[in-house]
Amino acid sequence: MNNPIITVASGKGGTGKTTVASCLALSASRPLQFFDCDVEEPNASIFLKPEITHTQDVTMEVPEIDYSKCTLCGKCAEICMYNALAVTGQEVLTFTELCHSCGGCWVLCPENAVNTTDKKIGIIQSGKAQENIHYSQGQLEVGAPTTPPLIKAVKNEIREDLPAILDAPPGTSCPVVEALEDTHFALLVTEPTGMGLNDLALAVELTRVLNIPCGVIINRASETYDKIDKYCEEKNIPVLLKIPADREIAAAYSQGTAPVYIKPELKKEFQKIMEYIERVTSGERTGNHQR
Amino acid sequence: MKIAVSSTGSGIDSPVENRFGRCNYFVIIDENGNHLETIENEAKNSPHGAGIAAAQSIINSGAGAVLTGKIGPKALQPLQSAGIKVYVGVDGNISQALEKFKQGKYELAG
Repeated sequence: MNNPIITVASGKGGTGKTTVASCLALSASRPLQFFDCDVEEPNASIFLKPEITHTQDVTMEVPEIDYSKCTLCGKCAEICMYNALAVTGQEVLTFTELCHSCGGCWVLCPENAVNTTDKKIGIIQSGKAQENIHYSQGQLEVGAPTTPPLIKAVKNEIREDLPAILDAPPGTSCPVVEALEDTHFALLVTEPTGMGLNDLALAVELTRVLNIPCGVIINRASETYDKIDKYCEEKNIPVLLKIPADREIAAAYSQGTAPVYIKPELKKEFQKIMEYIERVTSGERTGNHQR
Repeated sequence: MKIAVSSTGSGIDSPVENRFGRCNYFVIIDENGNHLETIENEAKNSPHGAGIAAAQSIINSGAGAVLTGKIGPKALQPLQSAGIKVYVGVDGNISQALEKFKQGKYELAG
């Protein structure tokens, strides 16, 4: 059986990534994995209500100076493109909050005087949600400056024997690249506004660079704004679903209830999307997606 | 003693730049107001840690004092570790700043 890794992304924040990712998971007819990769503010748990049974620390290697070997030559600070080291003539100061763990300093130190030490950058919490969802979320440590290493650690938990849904952070920068990389399908959520379209186009460009097939879901869809449809037609991207701008959905959302619970017809739509993604990712491309 | 002044321009008549880490130049003078050197601040466009990299270039220049408007804690730490005196609240142009410095009108940072 095909077990695609699906990333729900958006470009623009607040379009409904977590809502869509949660609905997709809650509609599935078989067990799957869910990963909240929006590690600065993981919130899919509001919809999925997992029981967290396991918590683990995630660490990153940062430099630690061995003064029995260090000659204060300054090479480490010279090559650090993140300005995480300063050599003063007395000591080497390390600013680990700026370190990206690139390894440059400990690889290039001519005296072999840079050791590494582990710095905690966050945690991964895991457990079961509903009956068939294996849930995991990353939670960034307060003060940790970068999210990609933690997102990578969350993705290391992906098992090959089940489909996986990843809730990505917003935007199109490094954290989103990290979430999308090596996944099989990008489900791009947008809204019928100029900003929604602008940021959708950025996200589409990103998926093209990463060579990941994508489909679009328009949330809070409006009859009067058709620029997203036109864009998708022009770019040959399937619009897989339009979630209506609906008062009942909004009210349920505000209570932490996923739309599939109050609009059962949406559940079928999400099941069809899952089937579509399974087809596309198994190589049997249908060519024209009609909906 | 070499004195490094954060500056908007490269010359000795330039106005002092208020920001340490993201100034355009460091103009190095001596206590008599002689212009010894100008260092371009390559760190100014760094996304993060500009002050640390700027401090490193000041350390490497051999300066014993810094005159600037404001300096952040990360930039101050390596300068203090290197024994460099950092004076803040400096404004006007570089020669005016040197006069006031010699009169003891500026306070040490930190």
